[in-house]
Amino acid sequence: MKAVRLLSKLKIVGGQRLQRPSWQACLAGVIDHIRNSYPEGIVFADCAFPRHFLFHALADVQLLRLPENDPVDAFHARFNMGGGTRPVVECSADPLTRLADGKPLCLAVGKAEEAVRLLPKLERLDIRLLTMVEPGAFAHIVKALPALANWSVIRFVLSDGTPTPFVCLRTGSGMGSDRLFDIAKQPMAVQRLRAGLRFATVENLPKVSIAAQSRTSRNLLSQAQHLVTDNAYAAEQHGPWSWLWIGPDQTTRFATGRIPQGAKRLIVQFLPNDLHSGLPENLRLQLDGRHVQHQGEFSPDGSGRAWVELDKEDFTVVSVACRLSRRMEDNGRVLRACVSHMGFAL
Amino acid sequence: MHSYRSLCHFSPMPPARNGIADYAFQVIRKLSHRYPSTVVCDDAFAMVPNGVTLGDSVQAFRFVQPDTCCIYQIGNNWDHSFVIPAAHSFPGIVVLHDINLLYLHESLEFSDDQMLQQLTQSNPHLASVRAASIVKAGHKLRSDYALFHMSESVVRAARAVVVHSSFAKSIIQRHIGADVADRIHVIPHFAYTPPSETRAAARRRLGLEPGWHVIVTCGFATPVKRYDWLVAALDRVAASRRNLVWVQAGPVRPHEFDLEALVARYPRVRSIVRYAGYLSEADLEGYIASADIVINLRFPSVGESSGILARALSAGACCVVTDIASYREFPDDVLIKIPPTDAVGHLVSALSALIDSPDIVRGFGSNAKRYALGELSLEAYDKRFETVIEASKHAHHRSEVDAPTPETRTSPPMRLYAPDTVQAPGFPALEFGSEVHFAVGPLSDQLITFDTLGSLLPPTIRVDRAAFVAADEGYDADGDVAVSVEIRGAHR
Repeated sequence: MKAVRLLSKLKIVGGQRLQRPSWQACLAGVIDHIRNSYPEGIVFADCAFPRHFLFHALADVQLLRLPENDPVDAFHARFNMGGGTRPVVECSADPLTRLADGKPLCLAVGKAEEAVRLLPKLERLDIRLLTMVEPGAFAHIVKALPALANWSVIRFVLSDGTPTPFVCLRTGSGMGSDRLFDIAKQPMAVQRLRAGLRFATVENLPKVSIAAQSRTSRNLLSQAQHLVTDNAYAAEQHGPWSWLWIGPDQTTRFATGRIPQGAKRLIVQFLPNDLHSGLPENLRLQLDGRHVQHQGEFSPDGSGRAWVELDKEDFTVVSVACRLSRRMEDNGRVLRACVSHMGFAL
Repeated sequence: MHSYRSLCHFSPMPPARNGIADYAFQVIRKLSHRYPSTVVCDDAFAMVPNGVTLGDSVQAFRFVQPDTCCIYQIGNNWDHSFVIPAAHSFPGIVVLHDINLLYLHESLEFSDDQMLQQLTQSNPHLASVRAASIVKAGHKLRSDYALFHMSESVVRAARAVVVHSSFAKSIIQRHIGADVADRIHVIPHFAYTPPSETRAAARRRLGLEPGWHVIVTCGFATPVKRYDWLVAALDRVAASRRNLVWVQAGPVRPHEFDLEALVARYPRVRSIVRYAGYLSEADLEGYIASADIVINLRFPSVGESSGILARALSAGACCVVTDIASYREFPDDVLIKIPPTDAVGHLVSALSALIDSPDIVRGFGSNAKRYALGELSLEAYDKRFETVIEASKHAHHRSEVDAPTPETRTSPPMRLYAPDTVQAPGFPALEFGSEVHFAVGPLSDQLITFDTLGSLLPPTIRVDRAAFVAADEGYDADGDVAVSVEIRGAHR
């Protein structure tokens, strides 16, 4: 495939080693810590879609969506994870039980309010469950405590004060909340703040690699095979590279998940292709469906990157539209632009 | 102080090759001066007026707030596919540019059952014999597009409906029921800004000599624009007049209507025709500006309005139309109206008179311009539309669930209608109230479509029931199906 052959022209690898941002780092650290606490194996899933946040540390984590109102549900149901290969399924008893497959399940549930809505329903499930709540205002989770009577809420805080996700364990679920404190080998201070809320300080979190993401200087880019899309052709892979074609429709939407802390730019990288010229002037980007001005650096062969300077972090969906198209004679596919990476400059 | 804080328009927009897109651009530009506006469109490259936000149609829910008035531009083509689901999700103001929407509904992702339900709701009597064939076998007749209007669900979901003529309003009422009358508002199609080019300058640019008699037709060549009448008439007129040129200012699509093959049968017409093809906005305006006469025939009409006519009027062109439907609502000194009976003969008379009497051409052109700049001005349209917007805030829409089922309707469904224009010569005299039960046919499917069944009946026939009775399941030499139609009704 020409796209792969020409991939080496792209300068997507190299530069300085990633100075991992503290939020993503501590998220990866907490995941690693939980994993170590359950040596029998633990399954991770993220039902905070489209503000999923485990994605930044576990690129292939199963995404689940919570029921919303009709038009929003219909929109969320369009998305597929894994570069368009696997559906983002609705968060209900059957998928969760199948997903756990007898192992403990760690479920990211998004904001504290969503945890309050979801956790009582999860109590009925016959699975060993701990949940992780998106980092956010500490006051929210404290306020939610009365509604979380049957749950222990644990918060890890890095020694430098960086907040991490809250972790909720159902009382008497056999998950053994103390394991989260006992198994870690690092020095750790635990204190009880209020009934049910435990507050842990974790120091010297082990380094955890974020395998799915390019560790170029100051960039956090996801490969095409890990992107969450609504209607592009499924991602293709060759060796360490992957890419996906936008088409046949003009626009493909990407669910970015929670915007990483400190993100300054949204970046979309394209592979060169010889199907058409003039990609830069035939490209449009939207954030949450709203057109935004972008800038770009492109080579004559069509490879390059488009970016948007971010002045907000509250969007969840990036649309990439290309009005050029070419129907392939051999398989009938209508190809537009070839995306290799999407992510953020920090 | 407005009732709504913002407007959200759902419409195809330029550069889509769609007259409604051009129309919507003008309306939105005007309304956006008073209401913060968003255009929701399925084309990320759509052009929107300055200061207007462009939004993704798939994420429409992000743009509709409780104080947002949604406005839906609906025409019977696939460019409007994304508009229909939104019109059901967020009730608002529906601007219906076409009344029959079967072709549009074919582009929607309906299951077979949903499509059957829609067809049955649209025309319960004909659905019993046609719906299964349409949905299961994909076997469609041209007449299906005339007889299944498919507009009921979108009308009932709306807070208000805007149409461009009283004719269109009356047909919707007859299709759906009198209970929707109070939500339907008639606002005539506005006339566009007059072209900036003078006739002389436009002719110079487009290579048309100053002394020629220039006749212009615009837009896609389709059968309902009655090129068959025009070509036959031009053949006779060209026999005795010189310096005559006819410009087809729009694309020819042979698979839909083979205009070039038709013209080829008339050598005199072949020698005066120019095919301009698809035109830029500037060139389309230029051809209209350069015209002595703009021909804009329709038969039959399905209640549509013509954007081309609106342009031609503002350009001060002398316009010739068919004397039916919405065209009848224009003053007689603004348009020259040709009866659909013996249309060729009337066209020959009209064109001959106009070519021989430039004063008449100038007189109609002057009246047209005055009418366009006054009654049909964008300012007048804008004020009328604002009234509808403000009134819709407190209007209640009725969901499809509340709509009366065909069985509970209080009045007989008027599924076919005589458009009050064509008298059927020789139709037997009937006494008032006498029952009518007769069969028409066998007719070719094409005849039923393009000379609508209703036009075969005198307007005094109230049709209570009509059903196709197939006379011949096969196709005839022209590729049309021969059918008979059984009609039951009463003379009123």
